[in-house]
Amino acid sequence: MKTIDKIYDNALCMGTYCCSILMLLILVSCEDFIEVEAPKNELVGTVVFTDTKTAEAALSGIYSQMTEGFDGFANYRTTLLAGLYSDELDDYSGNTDIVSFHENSLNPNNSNLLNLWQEPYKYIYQANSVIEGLENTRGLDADIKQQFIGEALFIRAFCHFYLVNFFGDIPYIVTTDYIKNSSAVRQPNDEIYSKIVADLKEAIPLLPDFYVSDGRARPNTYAAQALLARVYLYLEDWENAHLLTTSVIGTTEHFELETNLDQVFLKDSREAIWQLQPVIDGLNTVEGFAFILYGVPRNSALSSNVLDAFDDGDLRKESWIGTITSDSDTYFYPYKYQVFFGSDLTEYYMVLRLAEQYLIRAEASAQLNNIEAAKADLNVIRNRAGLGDFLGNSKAELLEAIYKERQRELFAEWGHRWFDLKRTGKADAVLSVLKPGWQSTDTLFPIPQSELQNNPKISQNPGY
Amino acid sequence: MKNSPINTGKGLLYVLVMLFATPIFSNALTSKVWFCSKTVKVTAFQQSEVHGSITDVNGIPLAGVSIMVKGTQKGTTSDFDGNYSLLADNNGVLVYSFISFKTREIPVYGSNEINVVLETDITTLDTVEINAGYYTVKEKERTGNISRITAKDIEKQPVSNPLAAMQGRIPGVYIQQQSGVPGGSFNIQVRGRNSIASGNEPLYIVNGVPINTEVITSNIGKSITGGGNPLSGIDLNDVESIEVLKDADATAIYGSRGANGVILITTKKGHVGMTRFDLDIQTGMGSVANKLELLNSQQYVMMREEAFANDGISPTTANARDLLLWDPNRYTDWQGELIGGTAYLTNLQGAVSGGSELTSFRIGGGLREETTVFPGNFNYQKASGHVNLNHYSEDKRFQVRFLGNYVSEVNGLPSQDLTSFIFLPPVTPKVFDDNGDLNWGPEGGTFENPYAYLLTNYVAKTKTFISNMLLSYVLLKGLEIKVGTGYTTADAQEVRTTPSDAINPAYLTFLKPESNFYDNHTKSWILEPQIDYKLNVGKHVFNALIGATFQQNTVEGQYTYATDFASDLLLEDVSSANTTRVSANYTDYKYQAVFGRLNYTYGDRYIVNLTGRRDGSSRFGPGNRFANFGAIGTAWIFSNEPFLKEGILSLGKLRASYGTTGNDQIGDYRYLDTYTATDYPYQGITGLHPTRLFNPVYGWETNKKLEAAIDLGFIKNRIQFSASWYRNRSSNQLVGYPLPSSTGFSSIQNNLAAKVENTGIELELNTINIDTDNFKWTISANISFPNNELLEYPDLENSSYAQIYEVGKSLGLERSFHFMDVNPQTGVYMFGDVDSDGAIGYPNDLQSLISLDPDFYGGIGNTFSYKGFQLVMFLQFVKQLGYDPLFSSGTAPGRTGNQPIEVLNRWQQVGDNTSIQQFTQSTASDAYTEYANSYYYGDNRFTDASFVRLKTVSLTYQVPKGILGNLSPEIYVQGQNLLTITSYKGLDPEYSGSLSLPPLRMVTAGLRLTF
Repeated sequence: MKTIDKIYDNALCMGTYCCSILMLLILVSCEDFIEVEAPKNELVGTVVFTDTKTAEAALSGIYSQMTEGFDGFANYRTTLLAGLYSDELDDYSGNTDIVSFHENSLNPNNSNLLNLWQEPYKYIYQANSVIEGLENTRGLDADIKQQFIGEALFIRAFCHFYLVNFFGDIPYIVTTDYIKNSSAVRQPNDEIYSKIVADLKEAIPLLPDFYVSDGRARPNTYAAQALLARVYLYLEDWENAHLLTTSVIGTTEHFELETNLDQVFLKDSREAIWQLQPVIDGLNTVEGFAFILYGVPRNSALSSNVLDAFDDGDLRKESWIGTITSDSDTYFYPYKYQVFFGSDLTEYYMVLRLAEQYLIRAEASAQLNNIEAAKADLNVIRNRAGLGDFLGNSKAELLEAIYKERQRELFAEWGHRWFDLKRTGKADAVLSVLKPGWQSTDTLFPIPQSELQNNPKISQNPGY
Repeated sequence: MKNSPINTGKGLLYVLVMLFATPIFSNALTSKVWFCSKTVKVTAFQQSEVHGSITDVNGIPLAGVSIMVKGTQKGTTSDFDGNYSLLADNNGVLVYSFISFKTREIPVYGSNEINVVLETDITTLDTVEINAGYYTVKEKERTGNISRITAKDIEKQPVSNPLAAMQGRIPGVYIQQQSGVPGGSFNIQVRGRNSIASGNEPLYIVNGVPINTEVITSNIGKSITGGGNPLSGIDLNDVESIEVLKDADATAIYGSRGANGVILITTKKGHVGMTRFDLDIQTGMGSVANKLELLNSQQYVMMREEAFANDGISPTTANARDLLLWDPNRYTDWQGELIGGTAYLTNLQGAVSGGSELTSFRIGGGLREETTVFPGNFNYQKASGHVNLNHYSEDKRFQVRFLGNYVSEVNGLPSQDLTSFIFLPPVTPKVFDDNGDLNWGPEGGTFENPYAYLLTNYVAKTKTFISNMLLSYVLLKGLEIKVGTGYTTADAQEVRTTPSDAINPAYLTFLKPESNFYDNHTKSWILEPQIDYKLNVGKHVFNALIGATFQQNTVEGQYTYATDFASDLLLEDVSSANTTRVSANYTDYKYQAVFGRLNYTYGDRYIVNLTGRRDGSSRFGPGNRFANFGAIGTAWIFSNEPFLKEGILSLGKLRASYGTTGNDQIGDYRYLDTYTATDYPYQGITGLHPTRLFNPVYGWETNKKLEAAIDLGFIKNRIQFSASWYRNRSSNQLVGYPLPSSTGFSSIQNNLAAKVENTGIELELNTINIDTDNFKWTISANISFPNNELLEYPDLENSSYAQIYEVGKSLGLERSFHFMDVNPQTGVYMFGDVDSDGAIGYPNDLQSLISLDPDFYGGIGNTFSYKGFQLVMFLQFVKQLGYDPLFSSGTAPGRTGNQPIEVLNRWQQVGDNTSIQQFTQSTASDAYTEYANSYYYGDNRFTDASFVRLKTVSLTYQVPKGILGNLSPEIYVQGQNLLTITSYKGLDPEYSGSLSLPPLRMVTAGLRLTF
């Protein structure tokens, strides 16, 4: 009996004991202990858009990321890959994921291809988060808010413009909602374009008619107009293209063609409509660094097609093309950006410039059968390059001359040549001669494999 | 923020005070009972002093034997000469117990001298206490699946990482060494892959303190170490045992972190008796065991020329630098050059241990240095120190134990694993020019000189400190309260320097010498108050445990890019840089739990074990932070049934368990919408960008484990066999769900309704084949047959995994094009056109379903002892598929880059029947398209990578006493990875996923001395 008593006592004792401890544990087992503060190095989203400074930082983050790498969608990659893919550049890298652009044999697993797709969508997300953040905030100055939303809309349109031209039908992303975005479908080309037009039209009145930044490093209303003019050109909406280019060209308090070709790509170029400020320390533009040659090319060099396009006496050939001879071989390279490197920042990365607006207006005028006006605009560009006036008279001749002028004026700039070959329907004719294995389906890049994998609603382009 | 640190602090303080105060309070409350029992005993019997000596059967004195008066707390231990003395009742019984000896009980019968001889226990099944984490359990009585390896297995291998020491030795645990570089990474899976995407790492616990599974070193060393591993900060020589908890019964007490198994590491403890010194000196060397056979210069040039001819293209300086600018007669054996060296190993260990019955200690330290097989002076140094103190109060009711382990590592390596350069063309220009500077090829910069990576050094200095203090107090008989505390810090300082010599002179004008620094500080504390209660009533034995966990883990890191140094000599000093750019990372993780265990044993035969845990983790959003986990385990020791007591069966046990565990291995803050600063300001404004897509609602992943097992022992346990069958089902999968780029990001944290099942059978056999006085032969073998299956995935066809997984198949699935042959007409690879659309296309033709999971794996160890000699041989085997080395260069045969010699069997002309297609150098050719199809999707990129490897051979000789006076040193020779039998043609079959340095073949010799 005694042992049983003892056990009972012990058990009782233990019972009380456990209970008291348990109660204590439960007391502190509230959510409090595992509450953690936000990380010290990050800012919570809801806070970002309550303040002009941080809202502006969210916008600046996009521009900064556009130019921060050595190889980005808005930083050399578009120029390089579209240049290789068309007839502008020759490959010297030997790197499969680059060579295959030159040989028009893209595999959907190509890493550069993925970057070309991924990066614009990253900026689109950021632009959407700025738009949504600002729309849901109160207290920010209305003008500032308008301007920021305008810039974000501009970026969204800009990125979609390049995506649709590289890949064809794409999802047009207007929200940060990942559930909607992850099952977004490919929308037809014309739907994409009408959304680009709508975004730019919305942005134009929101954006200021002056430059808020030092230089022209952030887009204003004219940048949106200039981009929209290009979009109308691609849509063959000649009247609107004409209207918008006239507005930009007419804004002489901001814009005029640089007479000296060596000054076109400088930081304070009067021809610039929108430039990106290079941010990497010690470097001017990445293109200057990547294209300028000091020996046998390691990455790329200008192809003979570009050189052959220039007539004798064309000043652009002198100013904008560099030459290097190694052993007995001579190599040519784009020399629009003339600073290889240097911490003194004299060159900004040109995105939109006035010369293109003249050529757009020339083409629009020609299509509208306003031959004289077209010739006048074309001659502005020709004369600056030291060439005489264009002498032909037929519309067809004139259009050919304008295409040719675009090839010369805009070579190795943002893939203009590749897009022009496509939109004018010349890609097959021109490239099938130059590129063995060229196929008509090569006018569109393949959709990156990971995108097909992660969004079963996306289908591959034909031919891949 | 809702968080109120004051409240939390208060709460903690409260618990602490209460825990320490209650013993006093409770003592007062219960002193009557306690006191009473004492008086009864003192007055009832006459006591006298008993003394004597304890020896083994050979007459050698045994120190440290525990002598207890049966039924009391009184006892002592024998001294260094085996002598003891204690006070005992005249009619009492003394219990003599010592690890690996049979316990004896001897009644006093009023005698004053009792000399005892203890017999060795053939198997230690009855006495060995297995560490189950929060409690220990006798091997015989365990209900869960716990495997262990001990110091005696570990010290036979010249390795420094606990994971390497475990390879092949534990059933159900698949360990793959991914790099032979010091500090390299491992892949470990306990019973298969439970999680589609979250971490599959087990929980590591060192002396009761959880270790961060995230590696503390950063990405800047990834290109050389492959990512490192979380256990490199452990000194393997100090490890006493490693236990792996696998089933629900064993792991559920770890709740949310137990889904992938728990690995418990226990360090060596002090012993009672005379002060003892242990010394171990080891030295040896290692090299890459196998070389790939690659093309020589002549064959290489022939391949390139043939490729141009096939493509109908003529070589230019743009596409054929190697043919036109380089000397075709040069030959460099890049394998010999880059990974053909010898690595040297030196290992020094020392420890002092000793103590009295009440206080014991072990203090030790070690130094290890390994060089690499790469050219140049690279080495890895590991210095470690550890302290282990154990103290009991006079009445043995209070115990304090302190364990401190400190490891400092300095890993100096090239910034890149040079194995990735073995496919450089053999005709590359010479490495150094006439001036001894790096050569960059004609015209400067036409050749990526791998020696540049020998100049861009990577140095990682890591310091890991793990401390653990346990305070316990026996409040009442059978009732013990404990507080376990742990404090861990892990600091990593990494630097990668790029001096001017390593930069191609063509770029030196712009590319400046630079350094990348990464500093990481991880701090973690844990507090675990516990109450343990044990009650014996007749045949009923109850064990109960209740406890709580509070843990916080803070990581602060800072990455610094630095350039504009005055001199290359200052590259490792960040303050000497004129330009720096800094970015930071920070995470705070808090974790809290309440856990308990209730174990009931009836008559040494029937055992039921209940465990449970309620967990809360800050990794989840508010509202989803808590979850419950629990398990039941049962065992029936049928050999203890009266009707089976006689006969050859010495142990027969059936075990079964079922329960749930969880997984919270996701990053922190995934539920928060945050912005991070960009690297560069734009127009003077520092930018912000969104850090991630956030999801406020994801919750716990749960894993339901079911196990049934039988343990058998025959002929006094000379033959032991155990078989386990398990079925783990994990659901509510926590994944970083891959998203299309159109979302702006690549993934989001989310739960999936998918269910993954791992089943398997694990067999273990240990036998003592021969056991005579002079000769002993034992075998221990294990084999595991794992099987992984995706059971359910609602709407799989519309998910990101539509082309990756298939319901009913393994997660290791690789959907592939089925390789047919080389078309004898065109000379290119052909694949099965399943959808008959005339072309091989993704995804419709991906019909060949390959699984990269191992079919089975295991190990067989043989130990032979003859007099002073001991020979240990351990074979590891795996049956699996791996990546064919034919594709490991990543370039199509014919393009710039060397190839395995097998490519010479290529198709050359119409009618050739061969399995290797024609050479090509253009990415626009058909042959290239098919090469890319093979490389990305072909089932011809896989090949058998099964192997049997002589993992360890160890020969030890113990010099008998007398030759060197009283000393009895052990001299040993050890070999690791001596021989690999495989049909695999690559560098090493173990890990073929990427081109990395294979595990080295090591041969070492050493001396172990105890005095």
